[in-house]
Amino acid sequence: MFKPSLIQTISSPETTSHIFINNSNKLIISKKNGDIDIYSKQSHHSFKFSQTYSKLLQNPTLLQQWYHSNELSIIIARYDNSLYFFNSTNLQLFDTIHDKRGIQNCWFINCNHSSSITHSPIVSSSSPPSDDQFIVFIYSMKLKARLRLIIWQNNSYKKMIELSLSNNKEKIISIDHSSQLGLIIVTNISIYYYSLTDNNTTLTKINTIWKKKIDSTDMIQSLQNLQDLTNVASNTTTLDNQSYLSIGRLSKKSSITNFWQRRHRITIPMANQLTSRFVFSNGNDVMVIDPISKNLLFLNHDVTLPSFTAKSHSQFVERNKDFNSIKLCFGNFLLLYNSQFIKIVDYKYGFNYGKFKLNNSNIKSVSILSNNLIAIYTENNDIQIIELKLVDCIMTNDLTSDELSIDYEEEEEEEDNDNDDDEEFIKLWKKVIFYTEFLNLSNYHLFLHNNNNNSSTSFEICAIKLRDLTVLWCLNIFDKLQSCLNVIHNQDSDPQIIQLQNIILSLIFENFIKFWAPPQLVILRTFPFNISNLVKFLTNQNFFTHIKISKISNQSLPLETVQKWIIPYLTDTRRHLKTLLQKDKSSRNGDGVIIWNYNSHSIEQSKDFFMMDDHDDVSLENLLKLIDTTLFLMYLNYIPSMVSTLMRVENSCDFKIVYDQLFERKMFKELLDFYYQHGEHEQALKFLIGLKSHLNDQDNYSSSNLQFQWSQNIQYLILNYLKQLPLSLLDIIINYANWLMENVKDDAKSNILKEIFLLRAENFSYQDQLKVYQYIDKFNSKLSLNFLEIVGAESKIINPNIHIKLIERYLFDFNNNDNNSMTKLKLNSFLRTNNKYNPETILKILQNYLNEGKIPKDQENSFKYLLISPLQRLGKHETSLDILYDQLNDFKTCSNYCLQILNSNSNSNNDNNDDDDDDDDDDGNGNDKNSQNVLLYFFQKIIDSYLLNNITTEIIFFLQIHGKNIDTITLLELIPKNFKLFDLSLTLFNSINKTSFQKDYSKLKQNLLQLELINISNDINQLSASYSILDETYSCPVCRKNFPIYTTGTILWFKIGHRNVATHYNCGKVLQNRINEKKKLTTHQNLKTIQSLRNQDNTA
Amino acid sequence: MSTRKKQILKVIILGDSGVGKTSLMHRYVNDKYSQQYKATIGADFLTKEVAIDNDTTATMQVWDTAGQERFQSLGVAFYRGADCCVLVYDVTNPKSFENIKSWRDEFLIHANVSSPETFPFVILGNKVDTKDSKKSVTLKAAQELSKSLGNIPLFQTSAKNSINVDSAFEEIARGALEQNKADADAYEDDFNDAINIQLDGEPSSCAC
Repeated sequence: MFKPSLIQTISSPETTSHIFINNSNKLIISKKNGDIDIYSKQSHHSFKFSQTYSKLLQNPTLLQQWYHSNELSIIIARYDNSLYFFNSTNLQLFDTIHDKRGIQNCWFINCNHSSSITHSPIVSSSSPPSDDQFIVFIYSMKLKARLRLIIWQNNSYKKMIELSLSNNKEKIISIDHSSQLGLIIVTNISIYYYSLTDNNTTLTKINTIWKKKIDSTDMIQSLQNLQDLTNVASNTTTLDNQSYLSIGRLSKKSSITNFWQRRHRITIPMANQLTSRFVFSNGNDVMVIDPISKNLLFLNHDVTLPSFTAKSHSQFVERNKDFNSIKLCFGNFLLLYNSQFIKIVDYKYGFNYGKFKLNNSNIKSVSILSNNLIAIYTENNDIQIIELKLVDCIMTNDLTSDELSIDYEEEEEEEDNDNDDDEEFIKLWKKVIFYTEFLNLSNYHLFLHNNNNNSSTSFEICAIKLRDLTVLWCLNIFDKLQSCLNVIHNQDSDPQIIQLQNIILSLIFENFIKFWAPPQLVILRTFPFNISNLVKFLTNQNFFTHIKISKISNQSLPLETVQKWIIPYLTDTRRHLKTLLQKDKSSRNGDGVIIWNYNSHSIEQSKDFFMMDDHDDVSLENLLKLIDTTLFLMYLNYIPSMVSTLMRVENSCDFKIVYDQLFERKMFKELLDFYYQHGEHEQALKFLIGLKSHLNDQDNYSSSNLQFQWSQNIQYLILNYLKQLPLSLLDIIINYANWLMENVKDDAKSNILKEIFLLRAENFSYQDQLKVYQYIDKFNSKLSLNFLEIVGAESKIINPNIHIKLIERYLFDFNNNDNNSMTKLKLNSFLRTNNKYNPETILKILQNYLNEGKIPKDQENSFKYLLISPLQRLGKHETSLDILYDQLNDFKTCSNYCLQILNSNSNSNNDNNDDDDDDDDDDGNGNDKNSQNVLLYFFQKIIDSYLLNNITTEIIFFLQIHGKNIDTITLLELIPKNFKLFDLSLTLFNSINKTSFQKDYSKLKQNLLQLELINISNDINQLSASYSILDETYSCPVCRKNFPIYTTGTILWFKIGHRNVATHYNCGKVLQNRINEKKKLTTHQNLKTIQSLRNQDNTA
Repeated sequence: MSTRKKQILKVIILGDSGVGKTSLMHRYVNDKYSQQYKATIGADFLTKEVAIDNDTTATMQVWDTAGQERFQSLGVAFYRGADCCVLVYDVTNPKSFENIKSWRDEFLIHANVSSPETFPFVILGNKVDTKDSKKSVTLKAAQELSKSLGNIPLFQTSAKNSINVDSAFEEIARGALEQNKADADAYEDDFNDAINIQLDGEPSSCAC
């Protein structure tokens, strides 16, 4: 609350009026003798006399009041019929207005008017909005119902116009402005607006005033309406709908009862009562206080026709009816005064936040000097400067001793209520309003003691206090709401009751969301009792005996409110707690903080913010469990479709509660999701197995379609569950796959194995691959082979035993199955294409098979082909060729093998040694020595065969295919002497062709080089042919001296233009420098500077 | 007397980190694409005026949220009041596809939509411009998912090459508009429940 502190009393018995100039921090006091005293503001808000302007005013006793504009630096003195305009800096009179019709009152209004916003239905979007600054001086006339406006636009005088009021008896009472509409002029009869951007010469009356039947933004008003209905319901046992509806209608002004108003009416003279309208703007809204109709009118700017929305203001009027003057003090606080008291109130409810009177003197007028500083002009003609400070039990209270000269009235004394509960409630309400409005003040720190030091800490303290007060207040309202609903429970289907209930609950929970209300408290007090009872159980707390636990029955909260407000409270709190838990885990000390924002202030909060007072320590995990379980139960009771969603996301719901509830409701799918989310897979599968027998045991299963379906589909559900399980849980998968295999028909088994294991075979880990194979093999060897094939080909990391098993399986089939062509193909394909197996191991297996005679004789040869791929991968090419040529007599495959080696080597050479042209292993034909050796080994084998059989065909084929890849001389050396020349003819012919081509190519290259040599020689000769004769008469062009005839010194020779110039060595150097400088100069001249261009221009 | 709220369609884009949520938003709103990756912190939004079926215009407010887990709690606060939710996965990232269901569930919990069963979702499989060999989420799998979630519209998009982005957002706008209308119908205009009153003149001093 605000407490006044007297800063200074300026005693000036001759004072007629005063005004404070904000810009220069000067207080101007006019006196009856025509003098003007100037006081300057010092530190600590006191004023010091500065100077006197003698006899400045004419007829000083007739001066009514001063007016001031900071922007124009003008002060205006109002007389009965005249206005005198002074410069506020030097008090020089510069203009005068005389008006015979008399001057009633004046206003200086400073307004920003958006010119793009018009009152026509069409809003132009093409012209950008431009804000014009208007300063308007207005005076109303005594003898005419007219007013005159002197308008400055952007600090320049624009025009002066006169406007008429519609009624001759009309008097202007208050004026303010709206940025969209312009001036808002309130008279004793009507309300007008005047647009400053239009050239209207008339005022426009605002006739439309709407009043909502139910104000959805006012919790107290809604509660009051509900209480009215309750009273009717409790008094009239046989109440029909119509009668209580008519009483509850807010549209009827007489029905707005004075809620928590004074009961003792004191007769006050009319002149001292709050009867005059007052228009003011708090920056966001333009409002008119209308004490006559007891309404607060809010201007609606954004509709086609300007209108007002009325809200009941009876509480304000009743609380402050003894005050006849109103001023806007700061923020949403108003200053009211009468001849005895000054009072600071909020504009909505008129609660007293500081009421005081002066000692030994009455009040003439009060003016707001700045922020928290007010000047009181007393009937003793003193000016008392008062500073307002916040008084709070938390804040330090170090008021100066001067405060004793002011009588400060404690606000609590003012309210008079039926019972203690109401008194407590109003105190709470009042504090909530106070701290809300106080924290909305942009200059709140000025009201704090020691405001320089910890203003942000003070804000945080106030904000947390406001939070606590708001939560308690809302809980209080909730209790009142429940009391009402308990009385009128038989009419709870009444739409008006439901609407009021919704409004109250929505606003309560809006506050809970905004202020992060402690979840234990909120759930205990406001949730249905089946949920609130859980708080103790879930948080292991035993201190709730003193807290009133909610008695709301299940399903009694309106669905709309639950969905729109109560569940968002839970999800928001859940989010905050999860973030905090995350921060706790990531911080070193486990004391994470999160930011709570209030009015753009970020306030760090820890776990304690969510706790209740006097609480035992509750872990964040337990709080989360409470919130999630509550959310689960709310979904279950109100929005069952969201249960499955909650079960699928990470949650901390209590296991037992969830199980009991879902099982009871037969929501098995949701229960399975819950188990899955919590990693309780074994429990889920056990549950499913148990469920089958449970459902089978039910007597009435045949009557329940759902039960029947479930019992029939248990296997399918288990299969689906196993399919979803992570492969790391192989033991569980195998365990329950066993159950499935035991409980399904034989024809379904292979499908089950496929679904569980084969569809994601490639994802099994290195360790599990063999285990899974063995498991599948127990049931189906064909599927186990498929498993091996998939894993062997697709897995990124493969257990080597998988390949061994696969080869063994193939070999077994090879051996035991007559119709094994497909196995052969698969085996061959595997050996040729799979590059992941270990060739050594596989070769060993194959050779063992062969050596042990496990392969039928008739298939031995075809089997030997299988050895080639592992041998090739091992680089054992000679062994491969031995097998292919010696054992299998397959020249063609040998030849292809060699080509393959050649190609693979040349490819790898191309890839790896593009830049290594001088590779030692290269034979000059692009083939490395390794492949050359393979070819020569093959060729040697052919020759050996020729020597034995004298068959030339192979040699000829070899030479045709591979001849170009081997050096001809080496070939010829190897070919037996008795080999017919004729058979060699083609090879030789090719060789001669190749050599001839190479020779021609070399010749051509030589000729081209020769040509280039000739050209260069020609150039040299031409240079050598140029000469210059230095005779006796030739003088050096630099030093102008002749060259000595018998000189042995060095000369320098230049070619300048087409002329040869010979100079002495030193002269030549000088000349060289000159030439270089000249070149530089030329370059510089081409690049002209701005300065040079300017100079050129000037010269021109 | 009645006033209708201006149609602002709030669209939330969700999906794993790096699937291209921000790129999709920028491609749609600004028709721009940047190869550079920058993690979104909390949430960010852009607006675009949209014409739906040539007869309705609205302002679409596209909210891009953080995919990275450490920033997710910030973005969740903006889910409420959404008219449509876009679930994005990367066709080259199977994990992002698997997480689509989780994103949908998280959204439904935090957005607190009036009718979870009918709330409009749209699934976008982004980065379809990549080579087929790199794509690991098949169209068939995506179609099965969209069907299992209640026939959610599915689009294969590329923010990089501007493939299907506009048509996807057209569908998003249409869904959002329908949702917005449904919510607006439920919203009771304050003025429908108001009466016009007259101000009285100043009372005379006489009490009679």
